[in-house]
Amino acid sequence: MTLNVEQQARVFQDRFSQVIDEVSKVIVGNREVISNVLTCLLVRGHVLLEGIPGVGKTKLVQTLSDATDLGFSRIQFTPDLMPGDIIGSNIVREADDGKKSFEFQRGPIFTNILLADEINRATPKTQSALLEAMQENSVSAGGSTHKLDQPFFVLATQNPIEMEGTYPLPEAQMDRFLYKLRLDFPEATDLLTIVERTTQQDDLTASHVLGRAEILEMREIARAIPVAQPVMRYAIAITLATHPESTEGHDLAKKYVRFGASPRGVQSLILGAKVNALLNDRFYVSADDIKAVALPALRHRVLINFEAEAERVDPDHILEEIVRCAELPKS
Amino acid sequence: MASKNLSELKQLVSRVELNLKLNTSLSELGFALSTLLFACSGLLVLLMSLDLNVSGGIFACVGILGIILLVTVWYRTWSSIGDDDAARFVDERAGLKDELLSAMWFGNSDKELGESDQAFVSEHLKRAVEKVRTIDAKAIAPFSFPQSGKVAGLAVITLVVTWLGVSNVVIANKDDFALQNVSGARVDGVTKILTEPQVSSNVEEINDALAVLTRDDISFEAKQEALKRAREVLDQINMDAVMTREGLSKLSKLLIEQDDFEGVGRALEQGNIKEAIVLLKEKQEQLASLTETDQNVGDEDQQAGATARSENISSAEIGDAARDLLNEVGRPDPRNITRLIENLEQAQQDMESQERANTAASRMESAGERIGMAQTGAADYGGRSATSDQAEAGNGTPSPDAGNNDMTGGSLFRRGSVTANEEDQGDDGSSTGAPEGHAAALALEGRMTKRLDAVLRLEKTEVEGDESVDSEDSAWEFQASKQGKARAEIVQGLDTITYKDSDVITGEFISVEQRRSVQEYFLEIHEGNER
Repeated sequence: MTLNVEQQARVFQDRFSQVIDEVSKVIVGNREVISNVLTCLLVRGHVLLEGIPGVGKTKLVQTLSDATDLGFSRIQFTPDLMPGDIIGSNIVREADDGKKSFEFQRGPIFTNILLADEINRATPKTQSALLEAMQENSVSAGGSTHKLDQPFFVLATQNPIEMEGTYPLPEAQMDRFLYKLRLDFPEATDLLTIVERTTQQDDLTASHVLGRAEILEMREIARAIPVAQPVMRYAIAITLATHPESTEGHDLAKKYVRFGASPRGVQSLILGAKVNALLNDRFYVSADDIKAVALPALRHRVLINFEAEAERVDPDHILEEIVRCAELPKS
Repeated sequence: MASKNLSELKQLVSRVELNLKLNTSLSELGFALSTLLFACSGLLVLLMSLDLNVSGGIFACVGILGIILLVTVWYRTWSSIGDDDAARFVDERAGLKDELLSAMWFGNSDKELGESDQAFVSEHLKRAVEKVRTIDAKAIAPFSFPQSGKVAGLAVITLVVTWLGVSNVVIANKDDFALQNVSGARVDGVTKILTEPQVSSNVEEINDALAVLTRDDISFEAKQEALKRAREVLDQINMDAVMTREGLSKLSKLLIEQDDFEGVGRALEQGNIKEAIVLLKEKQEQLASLTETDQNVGDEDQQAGATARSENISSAEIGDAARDLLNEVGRPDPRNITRLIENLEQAQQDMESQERANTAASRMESAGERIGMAQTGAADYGGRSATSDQAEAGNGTPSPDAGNNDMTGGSLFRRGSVTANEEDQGDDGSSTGAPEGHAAALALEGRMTKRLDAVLRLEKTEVEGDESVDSEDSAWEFQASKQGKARAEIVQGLDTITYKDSDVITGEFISVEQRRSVQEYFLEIHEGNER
């Protein structure tokens, strides 16, 4: 039975809500972060989670995988972690007849949800092992390319305060993430709830509410949301405003930004806005949807310069100003 | 269905678009108009401060530029608003979050969409139309009078106030200009009176003053000033005429006593200068036929005539000409007759000019009365008080009854009304209009008229030892006064003077006879018979 668009939208919203509710049973607060993580999952994106230790980054990913009934792998990134440890490697396997041959031993990347915990602790060489997988949804090893199962969803975490012995993600790696989300320290009430939930006898776990097929269906629905060209140009205008060398660049960007957002930034804006529109029961994307996703979609793509760091101007501040000044371009 | 939905959408958007265009265009037009009007006000002030003429050409240029500006503003504003802007406006006002804008774009787009996408687009348009049906275009974008209209009104008021202010200044400047003209004309007129015999220009000056009085764009004060100055010019003209009359009077008396020129003198006495000129010319022709030197003196005559014409005629000149004529030995010199003729012709012109000037002055005074500038003050006319000289008003002939028999300029025109057989009258020497012995009143000659002593002064004296007098009824007789006698002697002495070098004792060319005559004159006055 084919559903009409309204029914499809309703199903999408219901399933989305179910996942949020299920994850929220374990994760206290941070509903917006949960929603954004799920959005990335539904638009074929990846998420970089940033937060101090103990705020539930890893728990969030684990809970999400529990709620979605998807395969889950966790890689603890360390300085001695090698690309092969992630992707896998060819090993010599001896057959029953004694004949030896190379066989590709799949690494932990071959899963649906991959948690790259403390990704900035691994060397850039290891970090770059994720590049192909995140962009192409495939892995090349031993002279052959291996397709990853869909959905493939990478959630990387990093600790912003422990900079010693870390390797900041290269720009190309950062650009592969659809969103960069920050988990703030929970408020007192949320912290109380966290303590209550984690100190009792039974651990709370999320139930499976969303299967793989449903997720793929939701991905199709989300991508079908139309976007009018004026809104697209609005998203482009915001992206261009982050470029200091652009004539349309914002003054703050010209002062504090070293490199502006890449074209993937516009894609992130549009894709995130589509889900946002759908969740708001609209079959079109508005400028407000673009605004709503501007920070998570662009903050990791705007590279600030030394002056900004010296003055402690972060990309969020610059983007907020850009979004505030942006207007729908005239036809 | 989709096209029907789209038409409904477009209908609403078009209505909103029209109102938006009108409101925005009118608002922009108001500001543009305000700017233009304020600029015009500034321009007026600038032109005034730079003392430039606010001519029609400037107004035409500013008007054309203003129209171009307004049309440009209107066109740019009108064309800058499209259906996207209208849709966006409705979205903002109705809180539709770009729904109408998006729907309009999808409705107008030719982009090929996938099946799934098309389904969402159709649903999107359907929802948009449903919302549009609940929207009142007039409520969303009502036509309203722009706020800039108030600013434009303020600009109009500013321009009007500035214009009125500038107009007053311009009128004042015109007044000054007119006054300067009148003043300049007065000075020029006086100069011409003094230097050139073309007195008709004085009439023009008065006519100019008359023109000033009849103009509406000149203030009352300016007209008053013009009238005052014109009167001064008129006074000057009349003064010259008086001098001329005096000279003519003297000349007539001198000529009457000469047999050859008695007819000329009579004609002058009667005021008929033309006839006197004719008689003189006849006399000149008679003399010319007897003179062999006519051809030789022709050039000198012309030179003398030119000299005479280039100077203002006066009683002294006329007297000199006559004296030169009458002092000729043997027969009069034709050159002196020529000179006398020219002087008389000049005097004739003076008289005619005075008549024209008085005619123009009459019109000027009438115009002055029409605009309420009738002569009311003593300062306006000869320093006389209108309240104490009512009998003189308009005529100027003084009356003893009015208490001002010593009025300036009056004595010349009075003649005695008393004869030897009549009783002395109360209005002796003053009244006008009586056929016997009274001179016709002459026009007032103005404050510049000099007081002239009467040539004849009759007094009753008793002369001892005069046998010719009847002892019974000749106790009194009319006789010239001592002063009169002395004057007669001077005149008589002058008649006998010949201007030869041997008679001249000084470089002043005053003969011994003249000095002696003057000396006798004063002795006669102060010592009388006791000498």
